[in-house]
Amino acid sequence: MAACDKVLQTYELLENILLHLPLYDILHSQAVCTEWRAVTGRSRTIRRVLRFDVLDEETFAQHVLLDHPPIANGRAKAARQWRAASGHVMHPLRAPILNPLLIRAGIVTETLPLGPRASTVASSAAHKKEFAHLKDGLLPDVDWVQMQAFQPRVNQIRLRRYCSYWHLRGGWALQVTAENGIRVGDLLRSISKDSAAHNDHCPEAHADYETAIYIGSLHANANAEITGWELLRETGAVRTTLYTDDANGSAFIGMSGKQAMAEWMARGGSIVRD
Amino acid sequence: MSATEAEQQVKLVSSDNVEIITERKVAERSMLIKNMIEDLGAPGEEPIPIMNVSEAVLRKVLEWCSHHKNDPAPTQDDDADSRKKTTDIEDWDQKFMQVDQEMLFEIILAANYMDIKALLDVGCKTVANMIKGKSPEEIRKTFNIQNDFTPEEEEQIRRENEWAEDR
Repeated sequence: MAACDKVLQTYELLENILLHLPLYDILHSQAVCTEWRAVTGRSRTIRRVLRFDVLDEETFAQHVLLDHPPIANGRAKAARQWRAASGHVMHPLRAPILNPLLIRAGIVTETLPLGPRASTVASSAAHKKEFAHLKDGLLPDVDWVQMQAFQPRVNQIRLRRYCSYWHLRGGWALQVTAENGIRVGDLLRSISKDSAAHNDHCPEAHADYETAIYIGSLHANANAEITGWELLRETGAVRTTLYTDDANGSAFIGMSGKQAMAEWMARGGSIVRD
Repeated sequence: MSATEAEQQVKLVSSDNVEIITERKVAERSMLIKNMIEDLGAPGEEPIPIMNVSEAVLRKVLEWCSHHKNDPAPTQDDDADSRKKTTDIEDWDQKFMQVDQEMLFEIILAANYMDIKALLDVGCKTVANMIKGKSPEEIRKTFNIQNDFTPEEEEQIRRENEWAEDR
């Protein structure tokens, strides 16, 4: 037998090879042949990396981070960015991170580790097309829909929708709860529902308006409160994000983008461009 | 291991019965050999059989061991930032791995058998880099893998993955 076949037909070796791949490529490798599919389906480590398994913070830190330095690296980097942007210190191992596939597919445009402060913004323009084929109850057993949306798991998030002109509505539009961690499917279905419910109120058809879904997290175990607002505005290729604390954030409600920006600058606020 | 021990010569025998003499320190990058030397005692006298590895592959593996003989033993490092990125392969290793595909996989098998974790990782990373960004069909072609899915299974996989397709 050729060495190539021997290696690829040895479970541990194929697993080792696949684990060096980015998430997207691992997911894709299921489609090569039945053996590759079996490895991605059976390997505990790959299932963890692919977020099919439910992980609490402890398990995540112990298994995934220690086994997979690049993930640890990514988290440390994200935590640094978060620190630079918000001035808050966050333990890199404690902050849940959104499933990177959501970002790759363009469903989520920006993400920071979820923490006590709200943090992630998803574009609703992209998601409509992306999961138009999603139908409740028709989801296959093991596919990306079953992936945990966050790792370590997050049991509760709050979704809220706003327009680019920042007609921020008071309160949270929707709370999503899932006892064993919110999965990608839960998140996308909720965003769809939320969009449908708000179509009447938000003049999406108007080209000047962009809409986004705003995700705030509640930790799985922590009773952290959302204390901040994150405002995002897209102008062409330049995305501007304002980070404010709660008191300032509420002051922007109802303002137009320009007004809020001016107000924010007048208060000496900082702007992050990417 | 004392300095004299490190400089000791050991005699390895490949699967095709060729004797290769090398430094003990080099050979002991392999946990298999290290354990054998400890078990046998009196290194240098008894030749050590490396049953599953041919001369050509063994020489290649020892070349790697020789270059990496002074590498520190892997440690559990708590600081995430200091860890190396998985996809990064050292320049020297990258050159070392520029061999034909058969040899690459032979090296992986040998590293697995001889228990040389760092070399095994370099080999697996190299293969991973060959897979990265390829479609399932291209992967099959690269490694000569038979597509053994039924049309129904294939349709199901396509549906599962279409969301993540490149755009």
